[in-house]
Amino acid sequence: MIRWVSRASQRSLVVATLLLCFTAMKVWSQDVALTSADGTLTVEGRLLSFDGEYYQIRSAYGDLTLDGSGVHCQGPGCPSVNAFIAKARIVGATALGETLMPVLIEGFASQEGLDLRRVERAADDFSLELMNSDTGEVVAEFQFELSDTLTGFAALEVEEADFALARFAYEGTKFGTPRVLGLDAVTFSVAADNPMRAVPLDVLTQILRGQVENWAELGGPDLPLIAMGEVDEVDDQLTATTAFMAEESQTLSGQVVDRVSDDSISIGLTRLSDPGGAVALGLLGGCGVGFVASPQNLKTGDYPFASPQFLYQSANRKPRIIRQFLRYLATDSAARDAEFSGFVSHNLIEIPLEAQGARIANAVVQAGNDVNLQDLQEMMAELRDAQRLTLTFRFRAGAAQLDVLSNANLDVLVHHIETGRFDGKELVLAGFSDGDGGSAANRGIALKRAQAIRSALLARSDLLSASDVTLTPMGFGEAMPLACDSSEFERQINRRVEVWVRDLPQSEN
Amino acid sequence: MMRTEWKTRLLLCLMYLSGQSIAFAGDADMSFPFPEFVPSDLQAPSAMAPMPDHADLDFVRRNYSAWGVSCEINAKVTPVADAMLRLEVSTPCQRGGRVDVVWSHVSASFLTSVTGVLDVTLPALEAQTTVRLRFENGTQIEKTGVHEDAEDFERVAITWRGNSHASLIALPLGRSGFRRDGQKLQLGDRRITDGTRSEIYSIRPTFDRTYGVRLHVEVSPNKDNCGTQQTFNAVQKAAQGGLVAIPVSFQLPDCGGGQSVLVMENVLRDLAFERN
Repeated sequence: MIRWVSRASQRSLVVATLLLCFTAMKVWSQDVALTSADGTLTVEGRLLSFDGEYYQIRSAYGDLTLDGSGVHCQGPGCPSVNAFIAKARIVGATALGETLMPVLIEGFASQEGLDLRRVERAADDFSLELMNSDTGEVVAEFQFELSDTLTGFAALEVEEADFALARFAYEGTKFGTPRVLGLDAVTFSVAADNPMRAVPLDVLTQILRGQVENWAELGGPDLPLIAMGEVDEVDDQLTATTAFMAEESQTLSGQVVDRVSDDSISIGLTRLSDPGGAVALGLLGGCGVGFVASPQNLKTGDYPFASPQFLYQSANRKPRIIRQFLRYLATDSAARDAEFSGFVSHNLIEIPLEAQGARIANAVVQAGNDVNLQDLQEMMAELRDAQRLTLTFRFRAGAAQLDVLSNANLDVLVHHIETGRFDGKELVLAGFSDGDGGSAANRGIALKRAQAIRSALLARSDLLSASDVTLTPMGFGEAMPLACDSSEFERQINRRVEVWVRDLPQSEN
Repeated sequence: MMRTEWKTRLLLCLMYLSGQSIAFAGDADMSFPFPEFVPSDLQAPSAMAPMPDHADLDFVRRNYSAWGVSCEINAKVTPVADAMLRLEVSTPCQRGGRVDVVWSHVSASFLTSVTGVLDVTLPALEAQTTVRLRFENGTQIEKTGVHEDAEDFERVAITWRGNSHASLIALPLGRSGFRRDGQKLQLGDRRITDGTRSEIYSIRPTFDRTYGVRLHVEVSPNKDNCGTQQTFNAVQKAAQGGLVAIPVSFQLPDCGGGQSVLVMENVLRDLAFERN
């Protein structure tokens, strides 16, 4: 049986407790005194980091970064300059640390021509050491301490971790914009021999609430329906995707998927990245629109329970090789590593219009009083020769701010524009609305959203205004819904800004 | 006359193999195939105690084994069913000798037979496999085997040295009726206490259903290894293609701390096969 409880207050308590624990455990902070080469100036403080080049210390004058070649270090916290090993302490979600991060580090080591060694200390406590392949000398050590996302945030908060592995976004801006390691999704799975392949969202809600106890209620045989896994704060409308990302669900997921795989009459909350032997069900909206947890739908955010996986980092300066690793995370090789690990990568692909037949058919089917044939024709005329990028901007529920993934997507898009991928092209920022309200008003709202994205992109980089890329905001209102508008949950999916790329008209080229 | 000579040869062979000293009358014209008599070298070959048993036949400048066979080492790698490679080695002068075999980051030590023959089947982890052989006398040779079917199999391995009792555990997921349990192979001769041994899990995915295999490594502490630092190599597919071998080191519990098994759940990646 699935059970759910409100855990908002519990989370606060857990974070507070973890903070207390970590504060009491500050054992690695060390005092140092850095003296200038001529001996005239000494700064004392707590060593925050040493990256082989620079000392970063917390002193009476604030946090200072000092060039190691110009100072002499004294004190118990002084690192060995000659035998420097870059270290990064990673705390957080087991589901990310057990496979995805090691594979990324493996890929990085391979690219850099470094050897790799794993040192096991205890369950979920291990290190990956990068070694010079000629000398065997350890040059970097990634220390893992895995448990859950909240522990990662707590460790980052008190500077006991350099990185936090998070299966959901941090509510706040304290840790800055995280990197997206890959995309995952909450899925609802059955055993391979169970013939069910899709479930309506309203039925799913009933199952999660324990209101369906027999497969006969779903048109199946007279057998008990066993639901497994835990969910957090499920309400009538399945309002928030994060509701399904409760730590408990994630932790249990591996066990749940194993049990579901072996039990034909079970249905369970699982993760796309760990399918085990179970089959993920498609989801059906009230008006017949379906949601499938496909890689493409996760990238575009069109699957409602998509779940980006984050890497948050502390503010302290990272050693050079760790910074190189962070740059590696933005490469196509890292995207390959994420896919190899069972996650969906966030690299951009272009979806031609002809591959979007289902969406267009749905747009025609859903067209009614508010959206007429002319609206659809105008939209198709604009997008006919364009390709949709697998990158969508969505806004927080009831707010004008972008959600965390969309914020990260701004950086991704800026990176691709700056590096010339879209030179000579036009990027159409296609705003869409939900179906509430009148058609003209919705087109206006959609256009404003698209314009907001354009402004955010331009604010992100000085290079964009001078680049050879044209950013064109457009508002199509409710013309191409991704979901039914029968619930707030579905309306939120429809409110979005898509990015389409097309060649510039000849006259502008 | 001829009949008598063969009887003599047969008798001498039996005496030789039973470890008895053999003495010949000094007949320079006798073209006898066995090596020249050296009493201290003549012992019966033992699988447990390899010995040098060759002798120079000066008149042909070649080495021959006690069986009268050339000491030349021959090795052959041929593809056989189920993406396996048959390794046949003949080293007549290293009877009962140790051979260290390394292929695709996997390693296993074997002993040759009393006739100096090794005949083993190795799972191919790659379409093209280079098999490296190292013999007790220091000789090293390489042979290459090609088996295109290797791509049809998912194979992971652990390799370790000594008597650590590491074990690769594979737990197939999915309804029992649809399980593909795969196969686990153990390679390496336990009698070579400092040799390398390997366990390889092999499964041929069919992609007609969704299923998976969880992989763990277990190590049983014993009186020889308790309290020690141990290392094994985990060999599996790499994201960037090919194979990756990562040394995994760990500390076994102190002696007297019970005989609980150490389980490492994440050193090998689970296998997942999605229905096409």
